[in-house]
Amino acid sequence: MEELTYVVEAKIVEKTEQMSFVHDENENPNTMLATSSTVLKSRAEAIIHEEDEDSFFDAGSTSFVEARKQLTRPDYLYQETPCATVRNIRKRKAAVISGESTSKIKLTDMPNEILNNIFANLNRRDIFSVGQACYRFYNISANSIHWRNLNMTNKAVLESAFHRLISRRTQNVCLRNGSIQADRALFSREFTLCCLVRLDLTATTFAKAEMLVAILKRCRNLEYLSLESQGILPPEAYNYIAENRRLKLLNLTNCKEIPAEGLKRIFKNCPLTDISLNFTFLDEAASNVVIDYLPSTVTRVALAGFDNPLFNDVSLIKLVQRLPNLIEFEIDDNNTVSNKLVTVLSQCPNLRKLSMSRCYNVDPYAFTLLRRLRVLNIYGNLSNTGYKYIREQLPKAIVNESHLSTIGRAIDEHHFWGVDIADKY
Amino acid sequence: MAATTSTDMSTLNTALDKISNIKLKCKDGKLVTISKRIIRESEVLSHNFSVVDEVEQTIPLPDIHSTVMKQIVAFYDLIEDDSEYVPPSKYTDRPTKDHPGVGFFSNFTVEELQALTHACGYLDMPRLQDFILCHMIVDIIQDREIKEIRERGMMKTDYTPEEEAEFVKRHEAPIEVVQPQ
Repeated sequence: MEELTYVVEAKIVEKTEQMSFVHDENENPNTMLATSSTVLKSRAEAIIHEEDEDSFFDAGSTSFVEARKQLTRPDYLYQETPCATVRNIRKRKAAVISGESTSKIKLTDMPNEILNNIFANLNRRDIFSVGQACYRFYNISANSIHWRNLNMTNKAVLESAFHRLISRRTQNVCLRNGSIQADRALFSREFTLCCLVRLDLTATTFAKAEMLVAILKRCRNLEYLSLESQGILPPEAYNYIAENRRLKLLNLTNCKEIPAEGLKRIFKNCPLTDISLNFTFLDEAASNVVIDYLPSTVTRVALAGFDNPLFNDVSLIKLVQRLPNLIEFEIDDNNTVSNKLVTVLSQCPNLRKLSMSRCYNVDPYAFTLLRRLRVLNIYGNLSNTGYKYIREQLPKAIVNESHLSTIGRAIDEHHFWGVDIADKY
Repeated sequence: MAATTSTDMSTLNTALDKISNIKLKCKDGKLVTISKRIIRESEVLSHNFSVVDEVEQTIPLPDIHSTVMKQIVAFYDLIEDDSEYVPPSKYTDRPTKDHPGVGFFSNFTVEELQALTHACGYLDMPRLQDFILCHMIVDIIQDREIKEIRERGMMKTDYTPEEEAEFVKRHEAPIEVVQPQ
């Protein structure tokens, strides 16, 4: 076993070496990749000869590298934009191809409309450098049509720069996995209102909590908002969210200590259709607000991830009966619910997706009543033969589709809640 | 909205079918024969088509030189695609340098390109605009440093060095962060 781990370690070391070749700016990445793969091959062969026994790796080929490519992380957070190394390679490729021609043109003689047309074909980084060229180009590049969608996934940005960007009538911003950094030159956080409609701050890190409040304070037109994994927010943040009278989708997954009053205000003001409260560990008052005040327009609800005795059969049946349009319902990891809730859910006319993984208090027979469902996630409740039986009983449904929640999350950058925000490049 | 444009197109097509040879009277007084496809693609020409002289069958075009118009005709002879032009939505869908339409412009001088861009801006022809501007000039700008853009775009900066430093500081482009994969 130790030998085996040694082989794997040796290969990982070679893999990192190969990556460092790719990092080198002056070298052609393709040739370096080829040479490093031959080196890898020979070294792997040497290791195999030393081992002197049959290995289940096909080490003679580059199958390990292939396998690494195939074995991507399941978490949707990491699959959005390519990381910096990939983009650097692309950049050099594009520069090499167009570097052959030395064509010149007098850009300053062109009318503004045509320049606007040209800039519409550039990605954000190039628009920045064009704006740096001269005053007139800066004014053209600041035109709002170039800044309608901003995809800054995995990026860090200064706070003042972010506010300046969204002041350009930006509508859709994705700062997933990014971070907002403190700016010493920024003295006050008083800004005018902005036009944001879709804002995704999933797993964004803020140097200070006031930064997030300052962003939310500017928004009045939000329709889709994701604050996943933001931890404990100041109570006034929820009051600012409630100011958005068109808010349809709200994702508060992993936000802790949500105040009951703020939640109540949101439910009263916003015509919500999708709400995700997974892993929020709501206290008693907030739980009662969810049960009593959740608007009846809601179609997708997620209350998974925390075992709250207040979300028992009686209260959840009361909630479900208030929601006539319920399509998706997630209540994983709840040990207080039982068969009564499942029988009520089986009578919901529109329910198509149900997640009840690890709800050990439910008798498995109750799941066979859910005839209208298309997707049923019941991980951990049954043995393999049990799942087989459920699949036979519910031929229309997909049993155990995915562990991950789908409520309140955009699929990818091409389907960002109905718009395509993929950067041009 | 769509209904009105379709009726406009049908009336234009029936009007085009009546006339066999359409000529343009250019700035220098010379006549250039053009195909019906060019009239369909250009907003301005299809609009001006209503004032066509029935006897001589010419459209007056007092703002564009005949040499430029001949180049546009030569470009449209190269491209045989007769369908309505739809701009590509992705970078990868853009035609490469091997495409005859892109290669056609690569040997032009600065002045010729200048005149062409003005002409296609005036005539409002999206296909021609995309081929000259978006596929050729974008290559000049894309992935370049600011110095290179200034050199190839033949322009001078009107920022002072202090202002430029201030610009970089204020509009710092989002820095890329490598995620642990």
